[in-house]
Amino acid sequence: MNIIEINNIVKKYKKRVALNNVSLEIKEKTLTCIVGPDGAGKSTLLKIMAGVLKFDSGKMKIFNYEMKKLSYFEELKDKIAFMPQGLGLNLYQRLSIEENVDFFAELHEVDPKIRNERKYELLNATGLYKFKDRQVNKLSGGMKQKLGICCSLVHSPKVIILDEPTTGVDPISRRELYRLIHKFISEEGVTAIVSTSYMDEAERGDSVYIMHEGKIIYDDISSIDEDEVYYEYNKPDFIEFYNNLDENNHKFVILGRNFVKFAPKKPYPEDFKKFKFGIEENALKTIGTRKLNLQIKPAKSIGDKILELKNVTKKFGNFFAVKNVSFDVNKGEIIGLLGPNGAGKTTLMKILLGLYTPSSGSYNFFIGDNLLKEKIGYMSQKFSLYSDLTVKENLVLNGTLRKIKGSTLKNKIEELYYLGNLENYKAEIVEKLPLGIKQRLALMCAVIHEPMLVFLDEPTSGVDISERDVFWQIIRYFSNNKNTTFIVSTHFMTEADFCDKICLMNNGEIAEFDSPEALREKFRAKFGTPYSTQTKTPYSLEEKIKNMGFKTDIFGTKVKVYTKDISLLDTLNLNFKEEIITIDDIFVGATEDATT
Amino acid sequence: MIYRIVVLIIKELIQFFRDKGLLLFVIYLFTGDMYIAANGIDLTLKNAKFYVIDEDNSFLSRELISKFQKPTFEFSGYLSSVSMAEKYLFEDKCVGIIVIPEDFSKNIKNKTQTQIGIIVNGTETSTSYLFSGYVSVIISKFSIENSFNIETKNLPIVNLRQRILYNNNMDSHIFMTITELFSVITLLILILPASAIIKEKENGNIEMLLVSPVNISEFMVAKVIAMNIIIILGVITTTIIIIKGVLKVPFNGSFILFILLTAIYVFTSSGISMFIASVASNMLQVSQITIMLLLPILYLSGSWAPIESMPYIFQKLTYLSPLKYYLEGSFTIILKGLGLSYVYKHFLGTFILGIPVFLAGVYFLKKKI
Repeated sequence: MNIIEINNIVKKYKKRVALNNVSLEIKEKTLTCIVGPDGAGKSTLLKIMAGVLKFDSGKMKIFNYEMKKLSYFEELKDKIAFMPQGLGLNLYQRLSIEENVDFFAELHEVDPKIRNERKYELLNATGLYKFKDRQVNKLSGGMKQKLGICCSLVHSPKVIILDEPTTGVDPISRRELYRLIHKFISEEGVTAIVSTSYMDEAERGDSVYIMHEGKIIYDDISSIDEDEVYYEYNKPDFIEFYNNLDENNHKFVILGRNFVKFAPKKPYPEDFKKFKFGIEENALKTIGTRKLNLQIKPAKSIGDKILELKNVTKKFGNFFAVKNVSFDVNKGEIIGLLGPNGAGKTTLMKILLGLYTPSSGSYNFFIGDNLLKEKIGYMSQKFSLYSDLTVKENLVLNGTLRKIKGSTLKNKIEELYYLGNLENYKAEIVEKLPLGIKQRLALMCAVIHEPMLVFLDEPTSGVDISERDVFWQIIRYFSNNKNTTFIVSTHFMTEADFCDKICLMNNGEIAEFDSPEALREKFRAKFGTPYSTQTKTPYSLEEKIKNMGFKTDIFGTKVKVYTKDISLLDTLNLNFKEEIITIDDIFVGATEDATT
Repeated sequence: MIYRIVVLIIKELIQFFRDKGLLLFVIYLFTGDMYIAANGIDLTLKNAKFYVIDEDNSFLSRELISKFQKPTFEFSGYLSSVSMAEKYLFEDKCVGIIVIPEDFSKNIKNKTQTQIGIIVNGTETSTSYLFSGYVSVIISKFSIENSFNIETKNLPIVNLRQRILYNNNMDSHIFMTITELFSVITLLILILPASAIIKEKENGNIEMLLVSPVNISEFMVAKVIAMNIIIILGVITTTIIIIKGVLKVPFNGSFILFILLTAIYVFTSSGISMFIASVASNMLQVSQITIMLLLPILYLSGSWAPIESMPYIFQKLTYLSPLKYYLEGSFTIILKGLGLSYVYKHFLGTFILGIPVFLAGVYFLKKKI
């Protein structure tokens, strides 16, 4: 049965179209994931389904009841729960966990007897019962989101709508959140709708919709074409291969860390590794990719040590934002700082940039002379250029502040227009540009003085996958052709695969620091290989395997198991398929290890 | 260094003129707000409504009431009892009530003492004060004239000759316009540099600059100079077009001297704005702290109430308001038309108080960023 049916819904904010003919169906007792970058229309869609926002045209049926007016929702308010975007935004920061749950129960006039039972049940399921007297502002991001879900579920609704519950949450809590949602689906018959900007979370839903610029560009009912395949080329000369690919003959072309992934419009006669389209490929096919005309050098040289950190620690009051961080960076490397919000990535960068002084420990740049500021570039979190100046004015300002003048500046700016593919935007006021282009401009401003070492703080958050590919092409170009060293922070686990070394951070400490290959080997040696199996009852199967003593995870209708010996599961008589180890797996493995 | 500061100032000015909201706000303060202050705020008594309880109801009592004429007074009618009077005062229907007792005309004719009651609404202190003052002058003159049947001006009493300098008509709009200009200047000095700094802090631009070779002093100096340029340009245009042109306020002194004093005041007082920027962490706090500091600066400058009528401690505290020196100096220049040899004290006051304020602002802001 369909709980929600939406037909050709259109929503405009003044002239901007937020939703353009969106149609979808949500089945009872399922988890639907709505995936897309910032500004794709996810929140608008969820708010319309929750009855918080009006739509301009189209039809919506909830529980087979046509919703013509917002006032119709009044009767459904006890059946639908909505958790807005932002960590703990719907919670009262100064109230304790228990008081928050009580408050939401009272809003829905839940009978006090039932309420206490329900509260106990929910807080136990989420593991928050131990902390029930703690104030919300003292909780971690993951705990806030769990409490948010408790508060949404306290009146036993039929539908829960969660807007980006996992943004900024650490990978372990993220897994727990999804497990929790599956638990409520299987035990209480709830229907859940979750939005996310992480493509790798798409598979966690029973059904998936991918949104892009106000449209649904992928859904797993109508978008699957069994015949579509893509190839991977992973020989040592993959960069030459990439440089020579003609984008016009391809549906998409993606440059990976040591491979090229491409989907030709006509099948290839040559013998490459062939794969069926997954969710991401289907999205890429529609959005399309843009290969910049950069001619990336095939090989890069890793030089001597350029930066050294020794036990760097930063305390804010009693809180360790960064704790005992030590690592070396060599010239030409791309270092990825990975971790959830609050892991200490930004603080660490700011220490290295001289914006904060460390509480203890030391760091050294081996750059030669004393003019450190002339040799480093920085692109801060979010967009931090002047949004009321034009693209050109921003570049000129950054150049002149660094004393680049006259024709040198002019030539440099022309080069940066070309590298950043900004030729068409020279005179535009930055504020009006799409996020992806802003981020490219910020990168260009950070490298205008040809620095040796560039710090990029979450440069790609909120940007769609195709724009992210463009961004990484530029980073690769500077790394290979100009031997620039990069330190990049991100919370997209998939981006780590572009880095030469990954630094996994959690609670201010380094959980792992090594190359992606070495980390995968380490994980395999410790936890084994992931396998997956399809099932109709993911939650109960997962419980079963978990109780047999295995590490598990739920991915929509799939259950993942990590084991060194899959024959141990032969008794279950299931069909297991080997999966690759994701950076997310490594992160969970490393941080779980630290806590238990 | 100078080169970088110039680049930053130009950037700041471009940003200011692109920010439509802020630009409108500043333009309004220098035009619409001046106009309202000049024409809307009048400190004299006008159209004061009053009722009369006339128990005497004689020719003489009616004659007395006819002395209260427009535009100062507005007679609204007769009331029958004191309880009615109270009700009218409750409802704010009038400024005051005049009570004439029944033996009023008899006593006047017999040249014996008589009484007239005035009931005023104390919630509007200054209006009531003016009202009862005017009323008692009129009544005493009336009673003398009628008791002795003579004209008061023929009596051998002290004849007052008033001569008013600098503002011949005692036109309160001249005073209001100029003090309003000073309030606007002070408001803008407090809020503009602080909000320009906080905006960069909120957007994270400041970090980008700190990582570049720009140092924090260059950044602050550029902000302050850019905002001062805007304020001084505003003062020049509003003085010429609005104050002299539209509002016809006479400008007796040297314009250059006035702008010079303004420049010193604006530049040194920017220190307060830098202090605000060092304390505030977002735009909302900038506005809140601005209001908190603006009110005492205005109050202690003497622009709202004469310094002489303040309590002793406050009188001493007025020396701490930078606006005091600027205000007195500017009045001297604009209305009295005096030159530097007379106003050098105000220049010195503005300067001597301003320098530590500026340095303190720089110190706090540098420490914070």
